[in-house]
Amino acid sequence: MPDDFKNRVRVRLYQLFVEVGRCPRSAEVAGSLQCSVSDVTAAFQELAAAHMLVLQPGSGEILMANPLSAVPTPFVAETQSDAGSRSWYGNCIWDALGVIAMLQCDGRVLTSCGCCGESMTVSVRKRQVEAQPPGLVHFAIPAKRWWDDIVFN
Amino acid sequence: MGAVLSLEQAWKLADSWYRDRLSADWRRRTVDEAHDLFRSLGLTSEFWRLT
Repeated sequence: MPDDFKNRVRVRLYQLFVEVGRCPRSAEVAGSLQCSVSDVTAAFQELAAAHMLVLQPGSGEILMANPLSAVPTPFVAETQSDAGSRSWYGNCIWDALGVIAMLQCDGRVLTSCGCCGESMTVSVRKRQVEAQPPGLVHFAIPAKRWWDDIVFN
Repeated sequence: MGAVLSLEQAWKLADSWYRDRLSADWRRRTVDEAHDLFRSLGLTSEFWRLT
């Protein structure tokens, strides 16, 4: 499959995810690109094999278009603008902050402490980050093992 | 066990890693490029080695 087509699928997937506020299904991406669903699912599979997406094991639909998660997680990335508040799920705190970075806006991550469960809000304003209550970020899995089980990670 | 980052380090990691993800020009980093990025953020321990 041509790299150019796979990239078009990848970009359109992300655009729809951001525009709609939820993960589009393969049929929606196909409709948007005016191509077949089978071409899109084949592109998904090749992008997943290259660790550029993560697919749901049964349906083959998107599970992760990092930093975005297609399913609810404990990391809600919320942005505010004149148009109002919008939110997406991140796969972890790195990814939830990554949603705000990717959208290049101010925002906050609504989450909880991994140790004690205390509610936490991590705010990003003018590219400065602050947590309430203050905290640190813990990575449990060494980098070389991230893709051994990316869903667990 | 694991690695602990300050909030500022985590934000810079997220910003460096994901800022360009919506771009049509984005491509997956090579291992060397990822190591360079980690190093630029002070993440130099074995924990951050991808290979």
